[in-house]
Amino acid sequence: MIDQGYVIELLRELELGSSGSGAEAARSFRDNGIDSLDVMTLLLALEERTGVKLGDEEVATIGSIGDLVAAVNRRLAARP
Amino acid sequence: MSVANGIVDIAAYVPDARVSNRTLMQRFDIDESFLEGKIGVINRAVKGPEETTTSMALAALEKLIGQRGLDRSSIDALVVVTQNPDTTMPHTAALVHGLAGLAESCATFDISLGCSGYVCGLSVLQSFLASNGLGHGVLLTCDPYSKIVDPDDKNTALLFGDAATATLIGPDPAFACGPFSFGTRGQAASALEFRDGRLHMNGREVFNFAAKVVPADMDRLLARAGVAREDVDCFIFHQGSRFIVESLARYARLPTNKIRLGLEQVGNTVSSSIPLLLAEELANPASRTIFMSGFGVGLAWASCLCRRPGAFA
Repeated sequence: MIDQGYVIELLRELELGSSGSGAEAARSFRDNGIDSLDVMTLLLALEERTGVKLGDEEVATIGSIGDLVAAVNRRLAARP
Repeated sequence: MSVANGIVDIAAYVPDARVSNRTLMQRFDIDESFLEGKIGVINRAVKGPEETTTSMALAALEKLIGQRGLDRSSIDALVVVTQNPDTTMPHTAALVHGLAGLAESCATFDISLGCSGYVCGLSVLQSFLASNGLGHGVLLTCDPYSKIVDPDDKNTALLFGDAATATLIGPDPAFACGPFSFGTRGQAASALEFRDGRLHMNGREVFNFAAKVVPADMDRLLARAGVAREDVDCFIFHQGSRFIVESLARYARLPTNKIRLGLEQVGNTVSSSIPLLLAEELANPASRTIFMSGFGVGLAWASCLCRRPGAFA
């Protein structure tokens, strides 16, 4: 399982958005200075580190770090 | 490696008309920093309504003939890279051949590829000339996406521009090209396709593909060539967007001063994006060893090294 701190640290490492320390999980990506292309970078990094690849339809419903953590954890929990 | 033939010269035709992306920021809900810093295209080159794929390719060829003082009868092969021909029959190279008044002994064929087309076409034409004992060939790229982009599609409307290039391949080259590497991820082909009368692009899928494939392909190719990455003077990636070029530089751990960006005033010109930048390097004596990689439709990729003949170990 991952948590919000994991994603915020990843944002800092990837130098995405208004980056890392100021990011808040409940705020929208946009309010955290994370644009749609930053989200692509973040999703790819998460995929490489957790093995979870979220589908495009699922990604379309994700608007915040909190949403993203929940979606990745749902996939991780569903693994055999 | 043989340096018998290679890139002698490059000419480009870019339409004069520009469409500003700034006028579309509000419509697509983007700001200036996203437009400049991520898309990287401020103005897109767009062909005039009277211009065609054939006429643009011809314009690039005529420019090459003019700047090189080339004898038309010396062109033994003419190849056009396009996926947006004016007609599927005859092939575009034959139409250009007829309009340019090239010799009957000149071979013509088209290559159906997108953004990997220039690098793949270089390999094909070099080999074609060498294996048939021919002297000079011209590789044309022309894929005007303004024909197929939906102006209401945020994924593509801000990206693509129209251009054509002509590369003279022959003996005594400025750059010898090789080795090459190629690949295709056909199961993801639908990520970039013409369907229902317009272009569709899954940007995330294309980005993931490029980010995973290109840096690894570059490492393999440099190892095969016995060239250290520090010895490469510049890296020319297909200009998909500023975001994708800079992402590749980051994933491949390349210094930014060796990365070329050239889409701000023209847009992503598909198979023409690499030769547009390579033409500038022809005039830059400091660029002796160049890595270039095209990737996109297919999802296919093609990479190669270009070296000035004196740069060989």
